[in-house]
Amino acid sequence: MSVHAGLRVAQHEARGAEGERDGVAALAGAPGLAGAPAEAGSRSGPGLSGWTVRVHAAPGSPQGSRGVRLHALLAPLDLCGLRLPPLEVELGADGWAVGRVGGETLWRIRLPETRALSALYLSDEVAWLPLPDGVPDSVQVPDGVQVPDGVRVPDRVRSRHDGGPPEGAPCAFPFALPLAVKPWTLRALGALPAGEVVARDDDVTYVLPPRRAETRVPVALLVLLEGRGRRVRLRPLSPGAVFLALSRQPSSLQLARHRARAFAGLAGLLRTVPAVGLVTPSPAAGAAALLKILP
Amino acid sequence: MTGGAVTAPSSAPVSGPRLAARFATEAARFATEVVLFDPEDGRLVVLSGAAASVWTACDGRAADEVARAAGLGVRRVRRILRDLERAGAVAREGAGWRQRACVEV
Repeated sequence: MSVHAGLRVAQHEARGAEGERDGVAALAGAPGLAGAPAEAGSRSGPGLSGWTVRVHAAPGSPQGSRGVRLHALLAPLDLCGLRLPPLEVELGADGWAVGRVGGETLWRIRLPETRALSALYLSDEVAWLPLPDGVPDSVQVPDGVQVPDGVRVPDRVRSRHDGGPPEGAPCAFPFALPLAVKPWTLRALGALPAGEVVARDDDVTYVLPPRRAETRVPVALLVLLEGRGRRVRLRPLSPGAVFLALSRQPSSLQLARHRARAFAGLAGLLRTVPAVGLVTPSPAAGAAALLKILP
Repeated sequence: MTGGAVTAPSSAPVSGPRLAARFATEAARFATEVVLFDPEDGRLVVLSGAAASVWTACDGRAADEVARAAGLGVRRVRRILRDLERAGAVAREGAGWRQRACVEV
């Protein structure tokens, strides 16, 4: 069995019109960005963004049916990645699946008999595990996963579920940061906020909120917080202004391995989503103002 | 900002010599701006208005031809070209001007 999946990532076309004022704004040093790639593309069969995935199994074998299941699981899977080499997944008759890129084995995983756990994908520091709906969005890496020396697998991997905004829509891939509840906060609250305690560091407790987005979410507006003021003020920001402003913050553009992808991602987002700067006396007042202008 | 002067956020002053270094860029075009980015060291240059138009026209043409293509005066274009050169966004090529090697995203 051979399943060949691919996605051509199309570039947004937004050729510039001539402007009315001069300007070269430059920043030496650390630029930054917070955003996710907004991809527009045409799919040809099931695909992963930027990936070509080939699944191999002997015809008529039990692994063949696993291949079909893997094929079905891959369809909704969406990875952030560009110009990635083909990923070869071989479902062996010995009950193991092997993932290779360029002939190099990246991982081996024992195929479960009954569960839909079919493959583990490594992309930089992130491991992705395609899972059906109804399972947590983060799971423990199974003991059966074996990887060669030098390839680090995190203890937990994120799964991806179907759903979310239409293909090509600007979107963000949410991730949840645990709340760091400090002693004085805990005293003020009287009890820990709802959620899962994921770590403790001295007297700080880290709590993962229970309500989290499980899949990509549409982005309608990019908001830069520009400090506090006595009145709520919103002002439109050009893409260049957003780049310069975000360049002063910690972001993916400061991570050498992610800079190019982060730049392309933010550029794609800013071609389709407006940006505003927000000055507000309080988060609540700012939220109310934003709700008024959201489409 | 007239003449395409090089400016930078006050928190990150820009020096000419530093910017004059080789600038392998990625470029993102927007309606009235071009954002250049060097993934190697994270440098960012934003060209707006006339500067973006001049940079766009730098395909080996001489300054007066760039001015014609951009619809701007030659003196103004020469000032912008000097700023772009200091920023590492364009380089002289014989009698003409050309964008530094870049990939558009």
